[in-house]
Amino acid sequence: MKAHDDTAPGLSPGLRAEIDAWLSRYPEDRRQSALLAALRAAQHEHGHLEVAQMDAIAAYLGIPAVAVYEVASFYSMYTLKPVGKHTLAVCTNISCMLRGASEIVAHLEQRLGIKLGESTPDGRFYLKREEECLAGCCGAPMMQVDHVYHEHLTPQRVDQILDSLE
Amino acid sequence: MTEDVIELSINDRVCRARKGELLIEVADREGIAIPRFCYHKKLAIAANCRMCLVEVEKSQKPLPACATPVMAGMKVYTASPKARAAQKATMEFLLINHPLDCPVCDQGGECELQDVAQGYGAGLSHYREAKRAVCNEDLGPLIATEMTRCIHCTRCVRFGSEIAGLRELGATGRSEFMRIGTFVAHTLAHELSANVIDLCPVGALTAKPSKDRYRPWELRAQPGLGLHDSLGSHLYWHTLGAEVMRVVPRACEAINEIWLSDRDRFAYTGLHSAERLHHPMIRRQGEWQRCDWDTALEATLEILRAEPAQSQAWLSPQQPLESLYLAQKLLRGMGIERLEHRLSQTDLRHPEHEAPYPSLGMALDDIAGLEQLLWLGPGPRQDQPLLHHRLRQAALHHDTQIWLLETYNTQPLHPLAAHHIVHPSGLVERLAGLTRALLDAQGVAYPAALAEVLGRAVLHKDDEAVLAVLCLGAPERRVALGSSGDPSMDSKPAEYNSALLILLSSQLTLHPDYSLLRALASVLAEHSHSAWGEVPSHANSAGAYLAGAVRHRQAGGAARPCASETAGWEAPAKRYFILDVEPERDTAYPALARQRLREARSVVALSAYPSQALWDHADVLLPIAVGPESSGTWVNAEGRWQSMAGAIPPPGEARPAWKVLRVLGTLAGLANFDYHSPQQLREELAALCPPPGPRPNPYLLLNATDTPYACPADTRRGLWRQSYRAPLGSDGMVRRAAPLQALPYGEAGVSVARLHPDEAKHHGIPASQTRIEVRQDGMVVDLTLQRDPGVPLGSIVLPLGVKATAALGPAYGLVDVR
Repeated sequence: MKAHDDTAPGLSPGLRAEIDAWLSRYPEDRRQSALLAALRAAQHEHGHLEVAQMDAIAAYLGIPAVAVYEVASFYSMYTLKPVGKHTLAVCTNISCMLRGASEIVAHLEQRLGIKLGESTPDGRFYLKREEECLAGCCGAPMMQVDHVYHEHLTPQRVDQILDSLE
Repeated sequence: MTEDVIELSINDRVCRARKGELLIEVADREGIAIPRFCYHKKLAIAANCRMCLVEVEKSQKPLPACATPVMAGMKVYTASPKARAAQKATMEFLLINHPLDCPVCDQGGECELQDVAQGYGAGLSHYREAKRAVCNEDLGPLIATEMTRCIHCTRCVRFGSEIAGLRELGATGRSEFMRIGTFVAHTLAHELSANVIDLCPVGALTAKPSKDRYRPWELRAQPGLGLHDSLGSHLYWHTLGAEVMRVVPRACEAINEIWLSDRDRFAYTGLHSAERLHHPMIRRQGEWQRCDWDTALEATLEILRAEPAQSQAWLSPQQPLESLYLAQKLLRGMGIERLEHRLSQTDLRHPEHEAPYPSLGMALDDIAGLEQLLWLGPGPRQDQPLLHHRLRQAALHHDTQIWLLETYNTQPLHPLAAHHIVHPSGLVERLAGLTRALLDAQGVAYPAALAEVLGRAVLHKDDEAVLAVLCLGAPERRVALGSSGDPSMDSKPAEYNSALLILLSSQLTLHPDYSLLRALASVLAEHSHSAWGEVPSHANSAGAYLAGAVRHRQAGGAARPCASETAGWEAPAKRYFILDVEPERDTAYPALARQRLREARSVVALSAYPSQALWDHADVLLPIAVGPESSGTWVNAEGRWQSMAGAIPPPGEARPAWKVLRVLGTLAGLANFDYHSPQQLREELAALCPPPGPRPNPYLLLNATDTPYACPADTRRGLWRQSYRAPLGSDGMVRRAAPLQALPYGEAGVSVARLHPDEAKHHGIPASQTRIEVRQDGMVVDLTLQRDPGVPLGSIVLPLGVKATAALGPAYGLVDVR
């Protein structure tokens, strides 16, 4: 029984290097530990996760493909469908909600012409449905744009941010 | 160990238990009912259904009995108001999304959810909102799904990872969107996959071939045996009237535990095939005509009487002891000496060095006690799925080191100490090298018959590790070898506790140097103080030897003098007697078998499913019973005699083979043919078999006057065919079981030529080419090409037992590809 596929078909050299860096932190027989990081890296590379990529990661880590699907479909941070280039995630949890997050969401929906969970037809923006508190309560309302926090939002501030993006 | 035994009380009853044992196990042993869904004694603890909550004194919250280890002085209440309230609440949660479709659910009447809801549920639910619905999965031809019924116990998921070793099902999504499935749709490919049907506590996973055809309470359970590998798994035929509706496992810890291979479970679907023979048939002026039994039996006797010295009998190793014993008694009584059941064994040389019959040499249970297992030839995964399961459990849980030396990659799913894939002739070289090195290390002279072979042998560097292991075999490990032929029902072979075992794969009987491999393995075993065994290929390969259904053995297994010089099954004969054999699929040389029948003067066949060769060349066809239609006794891979009674009547005018043979014997005027029951036959044969005693290592039979073993042919040049028996081509019933054949490893799936990608390139086959023409002995077939890096260079792997290769030459030999 071969534990894993060393040749890593289907993984780019960069992605493989990143996974290897994570693997070096865990014991030899615990390759599964690098799964979350591997999926995150793969998503950064392609914008979303595809089955072929998940299968390649499964083979490289030596775990069943379905174990990768389970993890990828469990966390809302992974996306399994193609989405817009820039991910906008407005926190709608309690602190942000009390400070006007719904107004921010409404403004974004109106400006982009899409609903939460959708991408713009030109493929520039993805308005993510953020499930959890992003732990930026002191700067509520806030949103995350491609992993960067933007706090004390107003509709004008949102417009500025969007205008600054390609 | 007394300090490890503690006392606790369950419902004020004092119970003794081992420290650390799980509460639910103790309660089960004491007969105290605790409801459960996710817990299963063969699977790891998940504790996710929460149904087994019980009250434990000093614990604020109720605890799950399946995940709570017992402690001394623990006081547990399984039915106290607090426990009941917890169980009732859990039940209500589980039923929130469960549909109320019990009246149309196959599981209705035998459903754990239904039963537990009756005992622990409330009549009303607080839930008023919409129920969730889940799309069904297509898991292939065996398993029907109704995923809305799923309660997420994850038994099926754990089965995949823990028992099967191939995790195909998983729980994807989260919270309300969690679902059990494959995520990417595909047919479950594991050979034991259908066991999830039994494990599923609700009607989410049910048997597809029998879906909506019965209600469980209408079925009659009749004990039976799995007849499609050499383990003889215990099962129940569930019958409705004269029809087998489904098959479920019958618990037998010593053999199949609680599992059943998919092949044994669904082979029954082949019983009602349109190819079934219902009436005796006779050929008159070249035309087939239906006739009565008297006419058919008269015609049969005429053929048997005509030229016994020129007659040949082909007998099936699937048949029970009773009919094989009676067949040889009839044939030999009429002067027919050439009889054979080893139709798919290519090398019948050196019968003097054979064991009394092929067997594991130990009980299946003892495999877990092995320290080392050297497996020679293709692994058992598809061939004997539950033997593969045993190896897997031994390697995972008992640290058994498995050394696998196979001739193509069988994708074993267990940890391996080493896994080498070698050319079939390389297998002989490697084994010879290993044997020589061991003998040299011990300063033992080579046995004369093997001197030439061993003299040329060289130890391969990859085998140094296994040699070191074999050299460790200490003399004190040597104990009396397992028993042979204890005829009592369900008898277990004598205790055997050698820590080393050398096994020859059942597929190796297709190897052109099988006798040499067997001799080398036995020498290696003798000098490493290992047990050794040969895995029997068919349900009754072992029994056929004991019944005397082979040219050089009497009934009972004693050698039959002078008979070893008789020509093999493939030598021409003028008349043929065929018992339950499809010549183009059950023999190692299908094209030749057909040719022999074509050239014969007359052919008579007892058959349930006459194949094309029989329709083309036979003169009389006698319909016989198969599987659950007839009682009989089979000897499994351990040497265990197992009997079963018939569960349903055979169709039309078909009769059990032993009854047909008995009447033939009586009509022929042979003495002592007035048997009334199969038991009588079994007892008569049992009396002829030697009493249980040491099973001799054939090494001890080697002596200076033996004919020397020939060195294997040089195979360094050319492309050599190697064959394996198609996993779902084992016998007539399985071949006609449509749901099984629709599996990825069904007939269509395995009807491919497997070639190493580099070998394909070497033969100038362009990468875009998907078909390949295989030419052997002037015969050509066109097959799908599968580029498989698990095939050694210089070799092509083809299946045997499927129509696609029936027009080809012998199981082994030089081929050409294009």
